[in-house]
Amino acid sequence: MKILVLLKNILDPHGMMINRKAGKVFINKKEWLMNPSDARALEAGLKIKDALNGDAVVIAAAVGDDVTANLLRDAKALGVDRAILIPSKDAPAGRLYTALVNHLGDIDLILTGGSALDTGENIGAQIAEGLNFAFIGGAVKCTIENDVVHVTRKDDPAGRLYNGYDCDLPAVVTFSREAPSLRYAHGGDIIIAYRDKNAVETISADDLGLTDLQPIVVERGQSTPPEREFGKQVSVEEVVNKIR
Amino acid sequence: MDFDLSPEYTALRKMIRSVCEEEIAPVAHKIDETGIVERDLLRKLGELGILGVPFPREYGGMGAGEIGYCIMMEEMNRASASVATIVGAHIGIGVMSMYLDGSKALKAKYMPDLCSGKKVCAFALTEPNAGSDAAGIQLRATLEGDSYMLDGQKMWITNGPIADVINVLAITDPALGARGGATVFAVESKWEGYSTGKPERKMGLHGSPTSLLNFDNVRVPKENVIGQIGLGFVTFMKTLDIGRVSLGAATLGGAQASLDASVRWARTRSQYGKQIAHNQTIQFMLADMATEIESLRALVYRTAWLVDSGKPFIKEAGMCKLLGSEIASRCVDRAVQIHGALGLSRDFPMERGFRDARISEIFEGTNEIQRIVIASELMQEVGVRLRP
Repeated sequence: MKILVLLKNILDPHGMMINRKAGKVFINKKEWLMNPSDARALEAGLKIKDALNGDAVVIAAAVGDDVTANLLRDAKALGVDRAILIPSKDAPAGRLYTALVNHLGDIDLILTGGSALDTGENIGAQIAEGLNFAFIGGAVKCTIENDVVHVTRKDDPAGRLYNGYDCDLPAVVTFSREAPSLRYAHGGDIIIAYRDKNAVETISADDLGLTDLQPIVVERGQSTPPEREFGKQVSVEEVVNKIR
Repeated sequence: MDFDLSPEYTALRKMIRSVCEEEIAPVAHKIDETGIVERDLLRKLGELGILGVPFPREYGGMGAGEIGYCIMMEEMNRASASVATIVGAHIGIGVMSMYLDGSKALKAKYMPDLCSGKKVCAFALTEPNAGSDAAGIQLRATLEGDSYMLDGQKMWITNGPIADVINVLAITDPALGARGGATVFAVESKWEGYSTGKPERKMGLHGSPTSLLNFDNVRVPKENVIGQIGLGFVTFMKTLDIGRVSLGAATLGGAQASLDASVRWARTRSQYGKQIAHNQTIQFMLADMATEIESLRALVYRTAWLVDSGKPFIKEAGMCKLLGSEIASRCVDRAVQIHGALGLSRDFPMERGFRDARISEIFEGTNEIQRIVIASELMQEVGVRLRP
């Protein structure tokens, strides 16, 4: 069983302040954290490994720079077998990951967060489409039995209804932020993961055979929506008259 | 020259901070009210290596050195001084005295259980008639066959009521006294003749149990001697020297918690139609606190670095404890003032912080003793030996 967990690090939203009037985001404290739903995907991957008594290989991968390498070291400290960094700044992550899965070969299960907290990107669906894997989104629980993936998903926003979904391997499962949160790493493992220079492997886009990485969608800029004007306060009679 | 923590310590701090914020801070008030720290909490900390931060992995520790230990103490004291005191007495002086001078067999026997939180350790030096004058101890150990019989009392022992292993300093040669005639023994609490008094009622640190220990002819096998016979006093003084660094780190956490709460309150509380942060009188208090805390942080982590790099650190360690405890008391005092009447409320953490901060000026060598340690180190540098 080979499980690939895709991670992303994001700027801690607690360190930011949004000034709507100036149309700017001010960063007071630049701290990075693992995208919360990705952290839940990682926990699910480690849980599956525990359930199989360690008879699974969990690989963590991320696209980014040196800061992202530290995110992968955190994953390594938590018990991931391999940590792979794809160094890239703005290449489309979906295409890189698809190529990575083909490069690694026989990946049975891909786990990742439902959406990135900063960009709202849903990488899981993109990859499932690209690889022609089965896809289940919004999982709160994921187990594996006889090569069948069982996923529990909260389908009712009020939280009363949970549905179960099954699919065959290979599959992509994305996690909701309501899934169980990530465990803590043993402090000694953190020290080892950070002191080990070879803790994170690097596989570049060239290694994956990708040369033309021009993004399909080009970002021209960002702006906040215009301030909404206050409506008019009306009495009940006016409403009744208007309807008549 | 690099004053930043290296990435592994930043990551370690992140992990410890989230453990403290999620597992300890929410129960800190309850711990203070009930005076009970659940054993499960300690076990959970042990599983993450937090109860063995400075010790190597082969003994079940984390292998993060003194810097890692200081980070842990700072973060833990930010959340709860009671838990930090239990953990600090357990690691910093309890297990540390065994780690520094204990035999390999003894360390292999006890340290894995102690570092994983299955057992709690205590350090027993103070006696009814030996406080600051630590050399005045009277607890007697007499050789009988291949074991020692311990007879006497220890007082004000942090972790006393909950400890499973107690490292005790006892007089083995009354003619020589503490200097040359004292030995450290690792005593298990289940052994016959050992008992504890009822927990002391203290001003602060309600969750950290302290009590009297009674040794009524407790038989201790020879293998449980820590270090050399007759040199126990040296082991204990060495342990206390290192312990002062982490104690400074703990006071740093307490002071930081006061500042964090004060900044939050200065932002949320409004008087005269504006946030109280706009008043210079509040600004000055916040600025003084932040300045003192930053100076303490620089001292503590530099001293921890001295310890880790094997350089002399006794003078600086005394300074950490002296400066730290005074800064923590001053900061929490200002924080109470900034919070106004709410600072006195038992429902707000400032009141607990105020009570908890005071003890740091007393335990592990009073601040007066620290001044003597610093002065004698200073004079020794110019060749003058001060008499105790």
